[in-house]
Amino acid sequence: MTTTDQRPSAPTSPSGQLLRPPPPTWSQRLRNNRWLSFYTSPLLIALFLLAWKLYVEITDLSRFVLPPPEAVFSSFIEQITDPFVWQTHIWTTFYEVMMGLALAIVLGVGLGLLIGKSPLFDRIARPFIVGTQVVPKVALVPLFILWLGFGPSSKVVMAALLAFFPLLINTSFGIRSVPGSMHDLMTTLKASRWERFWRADLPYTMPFILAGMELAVVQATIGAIVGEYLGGDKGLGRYAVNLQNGLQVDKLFGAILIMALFGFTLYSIVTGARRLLIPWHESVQPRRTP
Amino acid sequence: MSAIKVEGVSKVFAGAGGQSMLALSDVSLDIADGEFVVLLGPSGCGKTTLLRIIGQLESPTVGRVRLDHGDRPERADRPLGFVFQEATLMPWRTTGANVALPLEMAGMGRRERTEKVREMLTLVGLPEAENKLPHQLSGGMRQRVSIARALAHDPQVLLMDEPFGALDAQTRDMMNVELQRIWLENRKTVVFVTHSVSEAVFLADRIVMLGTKPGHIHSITEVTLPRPRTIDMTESAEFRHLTAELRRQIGEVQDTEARPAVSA
Repeated sequence: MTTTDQRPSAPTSPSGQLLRPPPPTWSQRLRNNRWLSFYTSPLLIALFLLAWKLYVEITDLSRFVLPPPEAVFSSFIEQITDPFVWQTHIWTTFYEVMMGLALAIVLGVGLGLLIGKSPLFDRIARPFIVGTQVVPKVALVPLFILWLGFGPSSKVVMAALLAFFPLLINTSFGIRSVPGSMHDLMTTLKASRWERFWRADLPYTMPFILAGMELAVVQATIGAIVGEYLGGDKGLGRYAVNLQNGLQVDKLFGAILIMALFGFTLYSIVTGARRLLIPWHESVQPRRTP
Repeated sequence: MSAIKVEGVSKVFAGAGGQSMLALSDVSLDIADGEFVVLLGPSGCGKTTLLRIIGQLESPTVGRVRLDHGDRPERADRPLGFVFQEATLMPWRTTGANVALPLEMAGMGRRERTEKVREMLTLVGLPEAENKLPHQLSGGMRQRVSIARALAHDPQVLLMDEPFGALDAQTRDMMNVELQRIWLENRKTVVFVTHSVSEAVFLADRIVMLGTKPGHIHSITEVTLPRPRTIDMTESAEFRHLTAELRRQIGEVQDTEARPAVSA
């Protein structure tokens, strides 16, 4: 086979002049560059660190108030390579968040489906569900600790309680937005309730559930860590309190960084699950920019 | 032999403020096996309601609909084919998988299914779209896929609720020609709802004109234009005569003084 130029020839005007779309402007090119944040994020972080360092140097601030960035960095490296931190704190918080999420998914998605499907159940249950949400939930932590002890269970309940609501709301909203014609289609095909749910309702609701998950995973992390702050023996929240009590401020910063990375990792897993579970959805499709 | 018998059907909907709304009043209609019947009428005449009652998506308040399966009783529990105003494709399924849906639900094996899906997509003129997702297709193509899906499980009756209403005029003409070709190939009994007079005349063996308030059968018109009909024929004197007459009738039923709604 002979190799020829595979590019489509550019259109020409009747007078034979080559017609090309106008070249993208400077800002359009920047906006469409998919690697943009790979350049800008490190740059902004570097600027931030520089400002931090300068501030510490100029004001001669105490290390117990704000340690310089390099001290925080070396503490962070020390902490992240310490198996004790992993086994005791990171693992405990991870366990609490995962168990809390699991609980929230079962209850939130379950009740969400029920509420979305049954207007009757919705009207009966909604006042109570809203009621549980207007209580400042952090105020419930002492109660959970009283009931369930200082161990992980009280934090699991806290994480679940915070993650529950976004899942419930998104799921019930999602199942209600299944188009009526889709229900009609399933009716004409003589679908059983079960088939209707598996083949139409659930796939339609999936993008909404995953949007709820994005919020829920953040909320569950907050729930677990706040629970540990207020009374616990293990976990990242407890770890931070210990470091504060010991005035190890550089390590406290390190712990905060670990929490941030922890949250970021969980959030990335959920966004990854999106690509895996709903590859057909607009939110996952590549964006077409003009 | 009649395939569908509509016997004395009335339908009452619960309206706002405890009022009842009579949507259809004592409608009776016989539709022959293999016939192409168009339900035509102004909005609010209950044509979609009648179609939904025939399709068992609504139950009649009074009266009944009988589907006669003649010498093929095995078709009795086979679902009807329904084409909605919107294509109603599942966005997570490829075109092929959408067409396969009724076959899956009927428990057909994978190999058989693939074969049938290809056959159906070829019938509607989209053999190359099998692996595309619905959002990659145009509106007309999506509606073709939904026709393929409605025909996939070989239903006896095909019900169509303004399937081309959302398409532009040119695409609509083309779809009408296509639908006629598909129908001539397999001769299903078709009940087709539209408010477009020319679409009705182009497609129908018989046009059932419905009037409003409450919905009732106003007139039935036989269309004897030879088949296959072409877009050119829409310019013929006979075609124009029919459309003019039907438009006059629509004006008539629209102007009818409202009869009082039945109170609950």
